[in-house]
Amino acid sequence: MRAYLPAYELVVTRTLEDALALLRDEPGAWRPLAGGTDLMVLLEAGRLEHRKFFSVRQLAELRGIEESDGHVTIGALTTYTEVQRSRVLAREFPMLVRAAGETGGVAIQNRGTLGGNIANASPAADSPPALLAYGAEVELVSSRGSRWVAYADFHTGYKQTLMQPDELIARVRLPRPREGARHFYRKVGTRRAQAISKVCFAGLAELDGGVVREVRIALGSVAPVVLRCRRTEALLRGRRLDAESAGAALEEIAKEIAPIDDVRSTARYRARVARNLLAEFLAPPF
Amino acid sequence: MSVSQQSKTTNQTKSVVGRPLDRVDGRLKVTGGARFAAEWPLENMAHAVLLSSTIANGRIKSFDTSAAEKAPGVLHVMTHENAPRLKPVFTNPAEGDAAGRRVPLQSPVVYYAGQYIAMVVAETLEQAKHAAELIRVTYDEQPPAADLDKERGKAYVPKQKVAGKPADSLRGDVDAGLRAADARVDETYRTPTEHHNPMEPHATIAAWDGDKITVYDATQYTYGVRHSVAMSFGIPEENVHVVCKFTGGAFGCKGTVWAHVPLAAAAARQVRRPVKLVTMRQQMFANMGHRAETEQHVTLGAKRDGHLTAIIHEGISHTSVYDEYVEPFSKPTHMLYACDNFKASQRLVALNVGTPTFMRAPGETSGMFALESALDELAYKLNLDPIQLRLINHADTDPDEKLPWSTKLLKESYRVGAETFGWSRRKPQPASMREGHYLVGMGMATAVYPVNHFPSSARVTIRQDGSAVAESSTHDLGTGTYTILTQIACETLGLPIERVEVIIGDTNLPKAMVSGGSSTAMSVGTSVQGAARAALAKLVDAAHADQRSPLYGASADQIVARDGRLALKSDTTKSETFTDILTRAGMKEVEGSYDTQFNDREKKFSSHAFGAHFAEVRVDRDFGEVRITRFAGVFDIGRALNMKTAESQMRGGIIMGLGMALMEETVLDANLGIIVNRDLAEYHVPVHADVPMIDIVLLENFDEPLMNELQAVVNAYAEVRARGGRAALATVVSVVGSAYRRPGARMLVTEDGQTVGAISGGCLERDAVEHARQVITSDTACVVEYDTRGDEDIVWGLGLGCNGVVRVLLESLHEGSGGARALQFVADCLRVRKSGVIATVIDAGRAINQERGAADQESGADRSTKIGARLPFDERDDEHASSAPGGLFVDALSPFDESGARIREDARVALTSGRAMTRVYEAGAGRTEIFFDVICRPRPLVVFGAEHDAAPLIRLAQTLGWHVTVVDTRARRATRERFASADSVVLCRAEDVTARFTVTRDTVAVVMTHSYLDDVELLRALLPSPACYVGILGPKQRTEKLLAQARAEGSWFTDAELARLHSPVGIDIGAETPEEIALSVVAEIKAACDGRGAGFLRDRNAPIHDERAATTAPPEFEIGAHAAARERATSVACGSSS
Ligand SMILES: Cc1cc2nc3c(=O)[nH]c(=O)nc-3n(C[C@H](O)[C@H](O)[C@H](O)COP(=O)(O)OP(=O)(O)OC[C@H]3O[C@@H](n4cnc5c(N)ncnc54)[C@H](O)[C@@H]3O)c2cc1C
Repeated sequence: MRAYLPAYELVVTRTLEDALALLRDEPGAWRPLAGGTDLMVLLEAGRLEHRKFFSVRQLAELRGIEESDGHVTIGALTTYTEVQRSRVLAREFPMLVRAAGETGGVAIQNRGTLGGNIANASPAADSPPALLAYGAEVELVSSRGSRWVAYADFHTGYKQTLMQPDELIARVRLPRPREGARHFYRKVGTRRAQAISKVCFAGLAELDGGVVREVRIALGSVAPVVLRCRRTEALLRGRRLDAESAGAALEEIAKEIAPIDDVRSTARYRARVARNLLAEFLAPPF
Repeated sequence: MSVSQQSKTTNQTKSVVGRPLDRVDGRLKVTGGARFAAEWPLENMAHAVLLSSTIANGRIKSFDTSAAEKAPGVLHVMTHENAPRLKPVFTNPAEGDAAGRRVPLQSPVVYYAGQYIAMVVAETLEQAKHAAELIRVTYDEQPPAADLDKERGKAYVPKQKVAGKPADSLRGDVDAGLRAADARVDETYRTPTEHHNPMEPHATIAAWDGDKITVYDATQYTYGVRHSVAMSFGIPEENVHVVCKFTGGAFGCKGTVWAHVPLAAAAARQVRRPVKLVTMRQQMFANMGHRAETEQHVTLGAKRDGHLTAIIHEGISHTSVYDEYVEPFSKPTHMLYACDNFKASQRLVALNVGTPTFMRAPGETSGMFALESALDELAYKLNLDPIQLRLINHADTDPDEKLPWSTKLLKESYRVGAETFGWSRRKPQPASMREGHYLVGMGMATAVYPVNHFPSSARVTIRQDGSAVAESSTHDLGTGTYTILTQIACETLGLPIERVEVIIGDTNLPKAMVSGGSSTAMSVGTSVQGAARAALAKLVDAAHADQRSPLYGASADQIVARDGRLALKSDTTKSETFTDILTRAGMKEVEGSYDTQFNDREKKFSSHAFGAHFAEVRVDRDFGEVRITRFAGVFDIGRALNMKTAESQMRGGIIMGLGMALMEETVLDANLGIIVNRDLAEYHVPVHADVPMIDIVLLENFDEPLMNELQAVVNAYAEVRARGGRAALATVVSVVGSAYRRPGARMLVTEDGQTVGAISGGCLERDAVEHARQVITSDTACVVEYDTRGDEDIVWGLGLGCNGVVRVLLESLHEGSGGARALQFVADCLRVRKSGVIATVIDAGRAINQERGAADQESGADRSTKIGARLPFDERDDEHASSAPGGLFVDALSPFDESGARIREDARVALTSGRAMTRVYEAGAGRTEIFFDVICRPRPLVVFGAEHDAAPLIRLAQTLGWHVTVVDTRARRATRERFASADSVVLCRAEDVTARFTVTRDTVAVVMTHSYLDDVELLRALLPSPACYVGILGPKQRTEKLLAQARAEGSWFTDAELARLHSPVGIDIGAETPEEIALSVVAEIKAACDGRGAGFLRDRNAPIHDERAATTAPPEFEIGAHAAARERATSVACGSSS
């Protein structure tokens, strides 16, 4: 039921290497602690099996926002407040900034990190749809080395990811979208802060003369994982965006999502709102 | 000099009550110095944690506590198997078994999920939590009753009354009422289970000393805790000491003593150490009551014109399986609207949940939602405005208690609310107002809550050092009790805030009842005032018995207390400090006590607070999100003891209302009987971002720091009445030639010759006072004529060179007399800022009296009693005429229907022209002269900008009786405090101005934001509005630039609109300082609105007072109204000349 706090261990390693060594030497025993905004809640509720934690907050390797020609790379420890303060993100990745601004309240935004949000793997989290729509890649590091994985493949099932027990999330890399692309992000919930989404939508579309060159659509809270709607995307890609193609997309997305009834909302409401969100995203003028 | 200074400070101490004083405990709260129940640092304290049942219905088969007992730090594990026997606590003697079933850890029966089944006491909180986790429980589980719908078949008649009424109530014949109805509404409304969720959890620290115990508890009722703990343990009440200095919110759930309190005491007794027990948020969802779920059915029948012919309010709510509580949703329906045929019926359904309890206006919250929603449905069916429907069914007396209301400003609440909110912009067709994604809706509802009071006691001690302390066991739930009690004590004792300390929340102090039902301010406030008076009386005794005192021999009523001194009323230089009096008398302190008792048996009035709520709601048509974008609440709550805390209470109540309407809902798993969302992450209350601008208007007008003369007269009479004195009213009714004051000038004269107000420049007052005292003695009314032309000046000894004939009506005031009613009417007009006309008979010819008929002759009415009869009309509803106050007069004229109608017409003319006048009516052989006196709606001045230079303008305007609103376009300032004297202060962005205000033709706007961009927006909004004057600070070139910018942004102004613009603002008096500028601006406004040139009067040939009668066209009119007024005016001229 409740946690017995004195029975927990918290280690602060000096380097990333030391941290990775902990994970390597006792696989599954250690849990990284970043902002703690998810972990502390679980701890208080007695829903954590772990008794051993190590802090990642001091690891410089996991910090910072960097620009390169084709990409912007964001350290896993980047907080929501830092996301909102970044000029390059505001200019080129407005959906991520918007998501950060709608996450929790100010205190949570100061403390919570992007890496924690991804690793926590909640299907109702607010940044993942934006990351999916931006075609993010995630860098996983371990004492074995580093690998980049497509974020769209990262979540494999309810609260499951392809991260190995000895791995940490180091960075997230976003390809810079074309100028003039349409970015549409919307969190739908009951109250205006501190509320878990009922439905969350992120869509990015790049058009060439009315024809969809690239489109990525992602939804939160409508499936066991944050969902990239690949079938709906495929239906739109390469087609002229008009009433007909939009209508087809609306039908497709209804089949692609699998919302449920829970204490926050109903499957019916979620299905309907998801459809209306897509309609809004695809609505003229282009 | 010193005298005037003294009177200034006196004024300050005098008006402490009502002022928006900061919380006296604010600093303690924000610095962590305020000690809440769980924060008392006792030596050697152990910690208790409760274990909750995971099933909702059944029995405990077995416990395995061995691991818990062996866990580190554990001192004791208590279950029903080893718990001490605690005695049941009865809240009323008829309760029977229910009281027994409430006692915790006495049996293996589980009634609801979350029920306490075991307690662990350990050295630390963590150890206790850990050990509780190690307890293994096996249950014999039964399916719970957890679904109101499934259980409805088992609904039963409550054993107890429903808010004091039978569960089934009937008035008249509802079936007949429904048959007579032209329209009918039949609707079912559901409200979910809701939880109080105060910030501070329930917490108890218990410390025994032998058979005495001290309990630090988070409570609304210290004496209740004392009683309850004493009963549980079978010890005398004196052995229980309860302390609660601060309560971190309660909303009803801390008014009852729940199971954790005796358990903490039992634990402390067991381990022989102080024990702290803080309940967890999750446990608060199960064990501290909640608002029950309701399903209500409302049936309304109404005539086509809106009159209700029947109201039926029935339904079910849940209770627990082991105890009974009824959510009294039908309570307000008994009394809110006038309807002869009424039926209410409530049933209970028992569920496996904890027992519900009082929560945030039990009954009103759930019941008004249903009733008011049904009324809206009815308004829609009848195609009536929702406010109109409510006005039509306004209850003039309490239909249930059959008593008159003590006060009821509900109609005014609707009116002021509609104006404040801009109700006229509402379109009644559903979905007709849209804004982008949003459907925009406007709604309103009536507010009502009974005035509750309980007997309570207080003690006030004045100490030798000149300070005082006020004590009572009452509570501050965050509501501001500390602050208002300080204010009351200060005002009564004539001491500054810093010298008075308030001590509450301790059963060693005089007894106070539960701080619930909005009763504390009235009950405990009265006790503190009484105790302060008693203490003061002792001080007076000490002074006046002492030959060495300057007050020697003076009686109590000749002495006032102010600035820490007692002084002679007649000569305030004769005074002495509290310290001197006490020192000389060799006393360290004097103490006074007071027990407030309320005699409800001989209730003569039905007392309720009334009000009206207005909300603007946006619904996203694609995503269904509901957002409240504007809110206004107008309330008649009597006198606000502290404007700031009072407004905060209103605002907080509204925010809770928004929460309950939109978010709050406790979800019970229908199969498991477990509350699913038992934390604040999933039980949603509003966050700041959900709360819109909320405008609060309190309909009261006491102790205005700067009041105009009329208000002063009204207030003075209220005071005379309150102390049972007598007074006369002198009113100037006509002036021929030149005189200092105009018709309508008033002066109040008390029996001892004191005056408030004036009827001349000083020449007539002395004689008028003499006459006034005569009319008081004879209890009559008369008209006295003063001719100040020529030689008679000498007689009146005047030096002002008036040259005219002045007639003054003098009348004795007593309850129900024409003058008293007129003053009441004036008071109402001032209070709610409306215009009014009072028609007063100032001469009644004999012929009329002779024809009045037998009845009057029998009553001995003669010409002189007829003088002073009144007929008030107000701005909106001339209907006022047919209701009580003017009744007498209408009767008197009834044989002359024709003049009756003319009088009404003339009153309307006077009202629209804003000018007093007299008219003569002849009917048959009789002749009646009537004086029409106009109470002008205070000129509404809106000052945009809240820099320091606004303050002198506001002060000056208020001295003139204008109604001042300050609008701050930037949210960063503590505007409310800085402009506390303004009638209202609003935070609003410049571009939202027209959406937030109703600008009328008499509105005067002065723009002084000192911000270029804001000024552009304001000009764009204000110039096209109907405002009669728009002044803007700054040089001409700046204004030209502003206008150019406004035009560039698409605005286009007509010449008429530009003519209203005054820039630079003010008349040329060489103003430099903010005060001088204020003078110049106010003078310009006055001149502009009255159509004057603002030059020197010596250059003017016409008389100073404009002699234009009502026959000349009043200045600003809409075309239609203008023409109509002219027509009526013509007919007046004919009528009076005949
Ligand atoms: C009041 C409140 C409101 C909230 N509102 C929202 C909301 O609106 N939207 C939303 O999406 N979330 C919300 N959250 C959840 C939470 O704040 C976010 O998920 C946040 O991003 C978690 O980051 P953290 O750094 O605090 O994670 P932590 O709690 O420190 O960790 C979370 C998980 O991630 C793991 N982890 C952390 N860093 C790494 C890393 N670098 N590599 C691998 N694993 C890692 C941890 O081991 C843990 O399993 C809310 C939480 C609270 C308490």
